[in-house]
Amino acid sequence: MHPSDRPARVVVVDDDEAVRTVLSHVLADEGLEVVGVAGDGAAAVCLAESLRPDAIVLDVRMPGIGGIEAARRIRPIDPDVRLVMLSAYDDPTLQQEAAAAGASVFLVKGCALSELVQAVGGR
Amino acid sequence: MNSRIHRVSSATDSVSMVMAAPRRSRLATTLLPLLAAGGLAAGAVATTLGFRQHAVVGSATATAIAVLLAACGYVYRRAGRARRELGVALARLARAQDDRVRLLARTAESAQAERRRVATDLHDGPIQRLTATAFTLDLLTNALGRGELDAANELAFRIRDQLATEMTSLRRLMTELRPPVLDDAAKPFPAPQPAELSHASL
Repeated sequence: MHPSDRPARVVVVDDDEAVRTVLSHVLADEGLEVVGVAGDGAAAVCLAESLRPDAIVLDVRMPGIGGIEAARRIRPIDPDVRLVMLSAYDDPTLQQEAAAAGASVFLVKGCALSELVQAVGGR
Repeated sequence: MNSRIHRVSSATDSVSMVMAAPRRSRLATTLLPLLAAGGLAAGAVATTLGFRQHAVVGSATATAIAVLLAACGYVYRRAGRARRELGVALARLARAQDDRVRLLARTAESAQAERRRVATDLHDGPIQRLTATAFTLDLLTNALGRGELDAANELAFRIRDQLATEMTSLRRLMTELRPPVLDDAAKPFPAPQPAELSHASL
């Protein structure tokens, strides 16, 4: 739950539709409110501005604007949003780039669900 | 005598010319027979004038020098030709080396491009599918925790399908990386049987 006793509002961003869908289901199943989904970084920036979610789960490698560039553009729009990078690449250099871009947490795909939920701010 | 001295100094000049400029060796070898003929003529004149001994020595020396210089000219001419041939061969070798370097670079580029493609295929295919499967397993765990057996059963079947799809995808990638036809091509030819050998020898 969000500190204000309401479910955290989350946006899920991944270019793979299957991942996007099941990730939304599983986050909702964990008591979070998925308010939007997007398939690329540009759409993520738009949703960040229009929905003002509590957290955004961002895939790193996506066509067009990737997750790191999206984080770089979202951070000035909303300094408080939790940007959770969820990547297939377990690469320290990528993690540093993500942190420099304003990412809050960097998780590798395949991590425990509890880690993801905690990073998003559910509990 | 004066003419002999003059002749010898001319021959020396010819040597200098040949040594200094091998390209002019053809000219030198053309002049050398003339010098030899001059030496012989001078010997004949000396004989007529009564200087027989000096004439014989002088003409023989002039002839020997002329022959020697002619040989030198020939050697230098051959050396010049060999040098030109060597230059052509070296230029050809340099071109071949450039071609080899270009081919190696192209091969390395192709290999890198192929590795990038395989990495992209793995990212967009198996890893995404397995991520979805892992999250589906989380859903299944949650359903079991809540005692929702029907939902859990449905999720288990979905996971089974996802894994089957993923195995097909991985098998396709494996076949792309190493087509079975390459394995067949790598097999050695079967050794000829004794009967075949005797038939062939006929």
